[in-house]
Amino acid sequence: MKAVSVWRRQKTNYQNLGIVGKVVSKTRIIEAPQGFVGPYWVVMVAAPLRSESFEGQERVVGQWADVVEPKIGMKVVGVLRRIGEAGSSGVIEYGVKWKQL
Amino acid sequence: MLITGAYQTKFGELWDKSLSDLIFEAGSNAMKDAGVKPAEVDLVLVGNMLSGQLEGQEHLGAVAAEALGINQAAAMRVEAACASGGVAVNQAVNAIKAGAAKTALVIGAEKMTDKSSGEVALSLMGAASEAERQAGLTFVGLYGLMARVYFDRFGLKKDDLAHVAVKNHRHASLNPKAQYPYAVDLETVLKSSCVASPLHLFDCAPITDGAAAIVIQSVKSEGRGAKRGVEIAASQVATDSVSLTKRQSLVEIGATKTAVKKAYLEAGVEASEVDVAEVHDCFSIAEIMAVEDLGFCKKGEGAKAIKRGEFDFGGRLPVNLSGGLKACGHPVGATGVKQVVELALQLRGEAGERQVKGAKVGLAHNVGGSGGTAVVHLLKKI
Amino acid sequence: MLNKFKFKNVGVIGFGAHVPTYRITVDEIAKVHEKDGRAIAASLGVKEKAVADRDEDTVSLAAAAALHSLKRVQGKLFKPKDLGAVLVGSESHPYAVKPTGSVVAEILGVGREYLTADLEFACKAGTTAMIVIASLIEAGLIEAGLAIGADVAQSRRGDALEYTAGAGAAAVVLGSKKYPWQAKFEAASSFNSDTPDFWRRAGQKFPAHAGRFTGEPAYFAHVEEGTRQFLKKFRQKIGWFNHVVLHMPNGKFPKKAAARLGVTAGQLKTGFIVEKIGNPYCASAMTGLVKVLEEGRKNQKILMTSYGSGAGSDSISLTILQKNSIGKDTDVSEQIKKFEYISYSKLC
Repeated sequence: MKAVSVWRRQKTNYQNLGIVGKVVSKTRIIEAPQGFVGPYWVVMVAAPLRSESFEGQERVVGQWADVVEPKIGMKVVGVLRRIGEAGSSGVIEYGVKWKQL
Repeated sequence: MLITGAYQTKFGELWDKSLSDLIFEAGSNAMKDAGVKPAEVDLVLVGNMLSGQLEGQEHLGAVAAEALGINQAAAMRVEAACASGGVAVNQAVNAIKAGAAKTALVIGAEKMTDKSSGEVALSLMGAASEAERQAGLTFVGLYGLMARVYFDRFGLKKDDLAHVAVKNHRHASLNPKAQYPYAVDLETVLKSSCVASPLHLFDCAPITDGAAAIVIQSVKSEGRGAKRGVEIAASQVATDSVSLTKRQSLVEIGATKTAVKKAYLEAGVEASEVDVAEVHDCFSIAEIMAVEDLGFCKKGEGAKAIKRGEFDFGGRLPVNLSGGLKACGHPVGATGVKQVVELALQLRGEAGERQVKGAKVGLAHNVGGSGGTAVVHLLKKI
Repeated sequence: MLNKFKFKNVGVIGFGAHVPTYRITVDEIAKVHEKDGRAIAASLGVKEKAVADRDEDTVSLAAAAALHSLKRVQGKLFKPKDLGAVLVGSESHPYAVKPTGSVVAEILGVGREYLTADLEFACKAGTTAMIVIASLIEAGLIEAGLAIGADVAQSRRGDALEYTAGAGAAAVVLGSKKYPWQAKFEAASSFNSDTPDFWRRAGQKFPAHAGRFTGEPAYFAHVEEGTRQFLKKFRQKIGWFNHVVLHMPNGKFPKKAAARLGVTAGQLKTGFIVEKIGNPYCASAMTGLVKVLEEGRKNQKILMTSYGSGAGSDSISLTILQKNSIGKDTDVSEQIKKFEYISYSKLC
């Protein structure tokens, strides 16, 4: 049941809320897979914001949630959004997407 | 340890062939090529990634044993995403080295065209981490993230990627088993639509049905195939994190470097001695990184070397004469075995129009996901 | 005394709102229906409305506003776990069964020991949440609580509501004297009846309404009489308030009600936000209140009267105690300024 895995992921889904980071890579998904509505940007963010290179730093991937286009090096913050597609009857999953700071 | 039998089915949209049909065709023809009877096989390994997700079929070892009439062998499935085939070969090699088997049949097979491309794209995301799936990162998107960093680091542009597809299609035009056995021009590649930036349609391997199989026998065995045998000089698997975010670098596949280093050591061979190679070009950027990671050229020089024709048929080190994943096709679990089949044909002198004269050492490079697994095989003509 | 909520021990310790980034103009919507956008905008007193993105909903908006409000809490004493109650008022809770409050509380890290259940009273459930939370604090039963008004309003294609039904959230953290107060939460009263001006049956996606009946017998009757009752109970005069915030279903109704109550344009100005963001339902009056708390000065008095169809109004009075510059980049005025237009087709 998807409800259970959504519940279990609550522990980690909100971790990066409010975290400030830097975009180190991006890709615009034009051909979306089943269950996703494209097109959308996915970014790789390095956080916490400290050094120039991302080697050895903690990195996360997530969807982009801003009206402006993400750019490499952009300072970003994690915001709460719906993730996945719950349809009209499923349990809704929330997680962190990224927005320009 | 010799490869005594090798066979590849036609790759493509094979509407009238089921997964079982493909397993049967590849397995039975490889045994025939080796002059080996089903009863002589004591180990069957099936490399496959998606049979469970796409058609609800698990237990492929038993499925293959039934299809091929092999009753007494140990049979099992091996899964390592797109490296399933290569890892299956590796596991057979290890079993034979350990004395647990004498005659192994390794089949790589995948049936992908019964489902829509959206469903297949979703199932291929199983090669990635949960976080990457949650973010909606398709397989193409993962390599797109790597390509973006590679572009910025080495000054590459989107158009520079196109030469990979042009080369591999040219090679495929010499391979009747390829999914797309015809050349394409640069303009066609450059005009193709974006799938996940900066990768466009012709930067990506297609969705394909197909199977390939080899018979591996410990040297002491005899049989028709032993005379045309090809030695497996090295078989090495290496892994790296499944998550792209935990890799040391995004402009190389660390697992490839680890596996090839171990392989060169095991075979006593250097990169410069490789005569022909099949590398994992799931995307154009993957081939560019592969030729660098395998030591065929310097880091950052891959695209230029490909453009210059160094890896063409007739060049200093022909890469992907089968057409690669891009033009021969990429039935996920079959690819790793197909690569070994192609090299076996080359080293036996049976590669027809695309034969590399005097080929003695071949390298097969198979990657799982965005680089979580890498397998390198080195084959030698005996 | 009945329905006379007088508070001595309740203060505003945090506040914040979230205005979604996308805007769609009245003109853009009117074009689709081949109507005169300029005339409609003029008659409604609304130019454009804020709308949610595909991946935003009442929970995500409520959480965003709540995070802004928690960030504003001063001092090191307060932690999310101190919240003894989390109440979300909305008419677009994502679930009919499974409370928005518990999802938001989980996101905020409130822990397990808090009181929650969802509230619904059309556009006034958020202000009712505030009164309930304040009452719990006044009774000494909890030390801090979070009241949120949040909505992603739905309207049927072609309905007049399309021009104003917007999205947004506002959150107010109330606390006892244990925490530093930024405003006194002083008094409240509520005025209700069974008036079917606007409703949504269970299972229906879009609301229905009774057209012009939503005016005099509904909005005006409850906003005006509710406010008068409040002033009478607490022996106050409307002129004593520096700021008056009324529920804003469009740009005309609140101005008309204000005029009849003797509220000046100057009193209405700061909390008047509907022209650029439309009507975010449960977040309408509360976002106006948050904006006043952000921009008002020390010792200024505020009177807010919300309105919920069905129908009823809550009146609440506050006095600003101090200014606080934490989180100024998330001020309502800043969020109103940062926007991106979206087309009608992209919206649906």
